[in-house]
Amino acid sequence: MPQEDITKDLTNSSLPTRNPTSENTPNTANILSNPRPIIVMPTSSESDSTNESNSILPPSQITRKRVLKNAKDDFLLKDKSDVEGSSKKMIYSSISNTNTTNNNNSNNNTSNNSHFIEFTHPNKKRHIDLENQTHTKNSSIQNFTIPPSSSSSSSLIFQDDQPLPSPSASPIHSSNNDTTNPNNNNTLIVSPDNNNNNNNNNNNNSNKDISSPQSDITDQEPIDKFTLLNSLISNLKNNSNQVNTLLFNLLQKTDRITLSTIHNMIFNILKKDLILDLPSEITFRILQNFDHINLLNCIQVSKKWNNLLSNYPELWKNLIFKENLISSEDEYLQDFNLIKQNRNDLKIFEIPKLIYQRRYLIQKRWMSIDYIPKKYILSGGDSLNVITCLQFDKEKIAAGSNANQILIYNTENGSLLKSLHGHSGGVWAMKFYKNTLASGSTDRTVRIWNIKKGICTHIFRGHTSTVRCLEIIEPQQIGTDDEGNPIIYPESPLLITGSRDATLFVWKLPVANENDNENDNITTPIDLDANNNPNFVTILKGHSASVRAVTGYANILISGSYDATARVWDLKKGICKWILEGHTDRIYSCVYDVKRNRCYTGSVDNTVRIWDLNTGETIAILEGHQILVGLITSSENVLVSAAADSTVRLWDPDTGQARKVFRGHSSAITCVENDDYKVLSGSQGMLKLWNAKTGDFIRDMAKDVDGAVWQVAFDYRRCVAAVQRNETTFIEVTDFCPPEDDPWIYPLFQNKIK
Amino acid sequence: MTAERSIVIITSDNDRFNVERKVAEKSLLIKNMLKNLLPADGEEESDDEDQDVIEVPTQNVRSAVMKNILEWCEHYKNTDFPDDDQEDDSKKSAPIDPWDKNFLNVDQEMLYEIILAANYLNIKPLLNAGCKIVAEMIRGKSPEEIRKTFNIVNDFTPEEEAAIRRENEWAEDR
Repeated sequence: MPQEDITKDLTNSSLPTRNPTSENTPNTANILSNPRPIIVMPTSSESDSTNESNSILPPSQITRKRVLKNAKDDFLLKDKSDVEGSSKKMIYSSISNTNTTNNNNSNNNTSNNSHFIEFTHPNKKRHIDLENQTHTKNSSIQNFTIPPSSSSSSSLIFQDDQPLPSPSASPIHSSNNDTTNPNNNNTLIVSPDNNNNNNNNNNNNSNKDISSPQSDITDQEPIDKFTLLNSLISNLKNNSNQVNTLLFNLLQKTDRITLSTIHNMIFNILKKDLILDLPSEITFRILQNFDHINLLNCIQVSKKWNNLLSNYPELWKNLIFKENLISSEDEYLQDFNLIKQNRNDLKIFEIPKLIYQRRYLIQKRWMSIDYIPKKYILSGGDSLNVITCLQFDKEKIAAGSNANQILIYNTENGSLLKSLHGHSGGVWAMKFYKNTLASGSTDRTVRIWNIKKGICTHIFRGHTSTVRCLEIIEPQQIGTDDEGNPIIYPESPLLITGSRDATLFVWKLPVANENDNENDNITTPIDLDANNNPNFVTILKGHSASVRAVTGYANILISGSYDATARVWDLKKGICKWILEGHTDRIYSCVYDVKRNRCYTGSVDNTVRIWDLNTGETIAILEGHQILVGLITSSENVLVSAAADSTVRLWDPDTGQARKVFRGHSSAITCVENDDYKVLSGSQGMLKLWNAKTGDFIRDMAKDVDGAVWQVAFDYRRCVAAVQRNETTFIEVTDFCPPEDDPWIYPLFQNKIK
Repeated sequence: MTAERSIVIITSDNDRFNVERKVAEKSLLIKNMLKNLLPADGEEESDDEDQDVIEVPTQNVRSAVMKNILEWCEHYKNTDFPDDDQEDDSKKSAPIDPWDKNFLNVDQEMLYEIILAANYLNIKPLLNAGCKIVAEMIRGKSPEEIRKTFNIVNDFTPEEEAAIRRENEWAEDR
């Protein structure tokens, strides 16, 4: 009968934490032919030193902890049918007194202080180096070794690949057929009960698998006892109460250190693929927390994850809006359709991700001085023109000048489309809505133009002085009625004009038919006084001086005046809701923050004020500018003011706190535009691009400009600026995503060029 | 004032938990259930004195999980959470409450069951916290680190993995 000796090293307190070495014994015959596997545990010189958990054992006592397990993943009551019973892994924590070993190698080892366990048999000798974990070639060991616990030296590393006969397996196999429990995958944790060991003291070779009194079996039948137990356990129903009870009993017999090891192991085993396992709506909630980098990493985790994420294209769409890469649903749809038309290779669910990718990377181009955008320069008409107003979309650029005309260019190729003549004075206010353009002039009239036809369709009279500012308010949903139907206001677009006569006129904008043919019969404009003009809605009176700025959304209109006040009007009710009083000098500009229900005003008194439109009160006074604050713009998360003191300042729109000051201009700022990522500011001879997040200066967009930079406007890919060079006015277009460099929508275009 | 009638939550494994109404009502599911059973908050309790105990069966939640859920409800019993519908971006991106973070520092199986239970019992703040905890386990991690976190097998072939990496490396700073 094969023997085994299990030694206990009382000297090394770390030993009990050691995991039971484990070995696969695929070949029973091999084990049988090696009758004397022996563990030799060398004694260290401090053999009587403290080992609290085990020192209560008499030195002569042999105890054993054995953990049987098939595979890490199958630990604890989990069934796995593909593991064969004969490949059961044995894990030992050997606790024994070295002195009891009678192996012929023991002489060598007893004098050796290094921590070795040697398994020996006639053919083979193995070392388990407890201190040195550098030998990793036997990876199979690590597959089922209990993960390292707190003890750094707890892994056992075998020095060669040959299967190691398990000391405890040998007696079992030799005395009994080991196929009794071929499919037993339950794990046994058999720990010594110290108090019950005494009855085995007299036999060093006895098994101590089961120590509880009721299951105690005589020393002569240790194998049967173990096998019996094993067999019993294997017949228990998985996850039954008996199994649980048994398991808890066993755990109660386990010391804290082993428990800690088991705890770690279980913690790892309990890991699960939460993303795949949770219901999809919860997974969506989780994924909504992520930015694009997290999402891209998730895509690369596994095929299932990749597949799963493709089920949530809305994640990308949400991200686009969350990061303000696109601000309106219409614009998103335009991108979507453009990609759909040009990218037959893509599936529908892939488009939102590509939209994000494209917008994100175009944004990066703006911020990288390495990227060279495409630039084209358009003639600005008469040499002494001052461009007073500028607006563009993806089809057209409109520029109004003090030379009484408005120029319309093709955005794509820069060609001059139309020149709108009719005003008898300089154009100082202008805006277009789709194909309809409204302009206000020093000639005191408001003109409505059909852009495609290039003709004036209406002349609105009524103002008694220069029309200085105007706003077009598009229909918006402002709420729902009792029956849940949306309330839309205004019903059709409104035009509001502000004048030096201190009044504002509200007009129904006569919207040009989009389908008008360019060559339809040219008519003379309808020229009417406000008194008998069907498009006239109302007049807003109250300001005591020139109305300098006007802005609005839905039913709310805000006007800033040289009387140092701003007024908030409710167009639907036809009333002045608030008079915003506080500035001590003329107001030059105002911005309405719809989301926060606030208003920002800039004044000649050098300050910017934030107003709460719920109360009409000042929330904050932003100080810092030295000379008049002529310009204010804002985006979702950035408020920008620009002043004649040649600085541009960034503020937190929530708190009003100063964020950045852009210094670099050498004269009064003449124009400024921003989004959440960037700020463009112009002054004499300069057009500067700044990073709105870091405050860094990025690049000068108009290096060779020596004159004024009158106006600037930009969208996600283009910057359009009205500049003066050699005393001549030009419109300059800088394109950061021309079709030939748009691999997201036109991948073939690039290939053709190459 | 009327005396609080006790509420007993019965778990799937037939454990019974005696809880305060305030605590139980953290679950909108239970709250709505109780609203039907106890309309006027006990004003007319006389007619059902024999029915002092209200039993609330929760078939989908086992005892060990319910114990955790109730600990959470107990902690927040005096906290009013705003309606979930009105939660805006700022709330969604708010960091996890430290108490919640500590509370949810459990093994993944338990976390899984708590999230499912919070979903079933309709406890939105707990569900949100659970989702954020899972998100935190992923945030900032490479694909390989995510695999390790959840014990996921990389089933891409090396070629597929290289291809998918190329396809998704555009966000990296170059």
